[in-house]
Amino acid sequence: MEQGAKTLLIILITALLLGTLVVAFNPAYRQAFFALLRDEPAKSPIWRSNRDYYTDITLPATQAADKSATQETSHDAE
Amino acid sequence: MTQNKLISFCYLFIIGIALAMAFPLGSTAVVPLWAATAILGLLAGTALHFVRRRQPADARDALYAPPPRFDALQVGAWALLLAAALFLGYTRYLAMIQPPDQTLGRVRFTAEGATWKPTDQMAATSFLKIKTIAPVTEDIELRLVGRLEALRPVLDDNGLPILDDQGRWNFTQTDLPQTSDPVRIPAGTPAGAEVLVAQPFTHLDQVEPLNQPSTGVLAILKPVNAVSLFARSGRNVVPIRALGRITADPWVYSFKTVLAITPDYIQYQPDGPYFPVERQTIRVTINPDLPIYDSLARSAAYGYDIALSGELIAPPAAANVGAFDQAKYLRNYNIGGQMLLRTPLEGALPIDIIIPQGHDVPREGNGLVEFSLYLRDEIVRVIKQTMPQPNSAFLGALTLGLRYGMQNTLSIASERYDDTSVRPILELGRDTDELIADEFRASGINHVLAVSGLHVTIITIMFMGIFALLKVSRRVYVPFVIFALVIFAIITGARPSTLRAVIMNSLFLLTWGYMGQGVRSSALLGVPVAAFIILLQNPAMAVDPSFTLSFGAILSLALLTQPFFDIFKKFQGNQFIALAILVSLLTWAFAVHWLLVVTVRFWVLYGLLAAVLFWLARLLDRRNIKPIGSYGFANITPGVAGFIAAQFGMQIGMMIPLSAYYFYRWPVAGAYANLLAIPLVGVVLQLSMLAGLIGLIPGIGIYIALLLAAANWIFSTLFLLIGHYFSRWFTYPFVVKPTLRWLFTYYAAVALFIWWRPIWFRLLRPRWNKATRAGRAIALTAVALVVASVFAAGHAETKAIRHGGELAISVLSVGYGSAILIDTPDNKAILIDTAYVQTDRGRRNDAERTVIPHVCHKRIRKLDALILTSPEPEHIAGAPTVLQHFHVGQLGHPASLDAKLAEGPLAELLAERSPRRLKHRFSGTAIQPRTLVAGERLFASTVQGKPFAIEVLGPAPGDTKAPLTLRVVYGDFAMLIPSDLTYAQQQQLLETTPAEQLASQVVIAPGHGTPGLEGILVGMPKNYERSLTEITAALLQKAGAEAVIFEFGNPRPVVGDKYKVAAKLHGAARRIVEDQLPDARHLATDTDGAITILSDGHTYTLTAQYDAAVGYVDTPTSLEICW
Repeated sequence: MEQGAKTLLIILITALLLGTLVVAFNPAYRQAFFALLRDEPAKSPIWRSNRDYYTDITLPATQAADKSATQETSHDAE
Repeated sequence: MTQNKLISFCYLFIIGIALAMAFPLGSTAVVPLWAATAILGLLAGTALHFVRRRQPADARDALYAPPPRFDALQVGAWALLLAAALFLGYTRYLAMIQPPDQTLGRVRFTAEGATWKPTDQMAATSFLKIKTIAPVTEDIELRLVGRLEALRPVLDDNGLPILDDQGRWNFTQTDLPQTSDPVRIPAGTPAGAEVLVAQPFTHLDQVEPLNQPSTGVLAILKPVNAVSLFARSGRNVVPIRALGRITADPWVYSFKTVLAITPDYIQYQPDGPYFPVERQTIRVTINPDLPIYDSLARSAAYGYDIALSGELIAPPAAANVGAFDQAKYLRNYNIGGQMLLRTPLEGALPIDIIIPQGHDVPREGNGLVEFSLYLRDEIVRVIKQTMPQPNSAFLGALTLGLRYGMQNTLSIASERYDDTSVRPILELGRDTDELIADEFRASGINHVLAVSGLHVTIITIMFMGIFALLKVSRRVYVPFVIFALVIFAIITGARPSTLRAVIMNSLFLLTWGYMGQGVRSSALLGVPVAAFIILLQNPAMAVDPSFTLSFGAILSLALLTQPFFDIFKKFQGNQFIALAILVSLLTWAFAVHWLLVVTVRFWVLYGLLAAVLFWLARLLDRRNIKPIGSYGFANITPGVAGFIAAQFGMQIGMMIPLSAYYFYRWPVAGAYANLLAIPLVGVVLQLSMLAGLIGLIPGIGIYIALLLAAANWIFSTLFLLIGHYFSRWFTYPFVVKPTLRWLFTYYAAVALFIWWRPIWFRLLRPRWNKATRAGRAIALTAVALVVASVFAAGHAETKAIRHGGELAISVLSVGYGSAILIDTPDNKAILIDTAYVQTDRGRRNDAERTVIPHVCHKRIRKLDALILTSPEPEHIAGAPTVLQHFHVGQLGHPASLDAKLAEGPLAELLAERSPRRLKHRFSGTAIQPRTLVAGERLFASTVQGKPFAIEVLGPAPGDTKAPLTLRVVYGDFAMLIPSDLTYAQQQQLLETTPAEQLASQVVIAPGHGTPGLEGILVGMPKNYERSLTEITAALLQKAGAEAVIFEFGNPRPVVGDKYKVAAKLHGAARRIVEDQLPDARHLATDTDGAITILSDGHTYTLTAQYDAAVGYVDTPTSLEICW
């Protein structure tokens, strides 16, 4: 079991290091990182590439925006 | 010892299910069988109790005396328990497939009159059946008298049914006296016949005889109100209304959503009463144009109460022999009917979400499931933020079982990703429109998307590793890991493969954590126990691919890895080099020329080469020339060597036989691709799970997830590339489907291979050594007889499928297209046309999906000829697929097809298979097309004194526009195939061909029953009825057609916007042909399925697939037949 834990730890550390390199050198991942940092995940190119993938799963902020937009529409209808 | 008996109990339960599948009794046997099972169980329990009570005394005796060698009570107790297991399996399956009708009473007719003896009361509104208990010798007329408590839902102000705060539907009940229509059972009706009564009842009070028969016994039965009882077959059926609940996570595709709705009540007829539904679910498909689509196409919809209306369609049986049987498949998943909800232009919606009284939001489902689905959605949100397409779709499917999300995801090599917001890591420069799912299937790594033992084991190890890192005791963390596995099973849809793995891993964790047992003993116990638990819940799963492939894989791993490892490790030094050369050569042949691999000459040469190489290796050994010393398989790192042996075991134990059995294909690339894919998927899955879970931590979580996902982007891209390249390098061949007998023989041989040591050393050798010469001769003869009988049975099976001396023609049901397989009396296989290939969203290749599986089902390994009759795509689009997968002796075509053969994929394939290429000349797979003209006779022969030939009636030499017109003649029988003749060409055939040359009992309607469509631009032509009457019908009359077959189906994919005109024209053609040839039989491949014609040269029989498949349809659907 200790062997399994050690393997997992190695995978985790290697992945974090490799991931850092990818984020540093790949423009899409870099932009995604900064979009998260600015709290604007919807502007991330990664999020945009997934716009047609499980469209019902949205960002929390988008959900709130959608909800308020729906409320506005219903007010208009009234 | 107890563990062994538990294992035996589980396996006998499975054998009981297998027996029920092979030899099912009627539904009336279910109740007595349950009673027998209970009695056996009770007796076994009592006997075991006595055995246990006696044990202390026996144990004391054992200290001083040897234990009794044979304890009759103990043996008897276990025999009873195992018999109970057998009965339990048999009865459980039978009860699921044929739920027993409730007997309400019997009516007995004597000379004195009729006596009605009720035995049971109805509990709910239902239709009733009358069953004959004895053969009916005199006409019986009767009617049923009782009451109907008609339920009608209470509606709110919006016209929606009201659900109270406890989740109960509100109804108003009207008590009505009910009398059935008179029912007449004619004399001569055999015992066991059933008549359905059209009127529903809630109470049955009396059976009133309407005549005075002197004898007869009838039973009045109440069928189970299953969904299938209310499902109708065909198109444009009367819609039903249903009140129910969404009881599974919706399957959200990019273009539709599929809901599993368990109905509480169904209204079968408009304005009729509502029936309580006791079993089965409805599969409901909704499209994005539905106004409330967004509310239903999400995990949160699980648990919603629903009111819906629409056509409840009985799942269709297989339209072609050997094709996918949807009815059987859905029945295995307890689905009784399907609905496709269309949004009406005006009026009420077909589906509404019902909010219970006193609530603001719809009801939720099971709390644990709701939590699991919430967790899944949160992980998907993390994936969407951290992993670009198409990798995100792949990881969603891999990690969370969201296969529907990658249904239409294009290959990573597609150039379409170059224009997306995240450019791919590698630009491969080879555009493709293949889907990832297809590439995975072809490369044999599709199994990673079926959440199974691989996933669950990786996740188990991952969690165990995390807890070990945190220094938590195994006794403490085992329950947490099991809980996580349960959540994971729910998230991924709780499919049989996942459940099997979760049950097995949980058993392993429990025995390892608290009893200190090892992996092997846990696996041997876990496999049967997991199977028992899954099959107890749904015994029909026993033949489902997801169940058998999953258990086949784990048993192959457990039982075959070591024997293959033991064999491989014997290869050392020069022997190892010889083996490596042979494997490399075979790999080259697999990759470069599959059609060569399936020839006998290849294997003869390969065997000779193997003999030479090993002889050479031994020679070099003797001369002490050893370039690699004694290096061999045993010197490879144990983990890697074991993995290779395990992969080999998986191919032999599971992939080759079961993939061929279920899918008619063997992903040959899988043997190689998995050597890379399986180690890689461990990394990809762990990183994906960790990123998904860590991403849920507020604040820093999403950043760590992004770093992990960034690394995983590289690993997952590598995985996608494995799928892409292996599917390009290797072919994905079709293979002949093994029969059940063949599978049994194969697995018997595999079992002999696994246990040959104990069988030989413990069982056979001691007896062999003691045996006399005569005894040995008898034993050898017996073995020879067994082997011979196996081969004889196999030969007889093939003969039963392909009768010598009989002409068999299959007009396949391939939508709006044509494909006809002719199995000649001297067993030559000729395929005429290859159906249509749809390349847009539907992506339906009927050659791959229907034609080739049918050919494989008929155990045909080589096509003697492929004849393409017309250049239209519905005739030739599948030709490249057929040519790619089969040896084809001849390729015949009309001159009108010359242009098609010189361009596109067909031209590429013909160039590749040119006789100029040595490898095709050597393997006999070269193709030389031949233009056919009127007057030719193909495959002319005489079988049993009757001439057979395929006569070419057209086109005339020099005609470069007309399609082929063929006439298949065998003795007195003939069939005319006029392909896509236009009206003008039909007219010409009619005028220039003598009647005796056209004479045919069976005729295929020209142009799929839409002649003249090619000349139509907009709307129906004015003279179409005249043309149909004076030309098409006249041609059929001149041929003397006794049966007319329309090769029809949905024309939209083929003819585009003209599909409505095509449908109208087809309707008109059928009507006119039926009017003009009233005595002929009229069949269509869309409504009758494939048509099979058999002829011995004198007479012929014509069978429609749907007629032959009646036995597969749930019996309750015959309700509609009565009406």
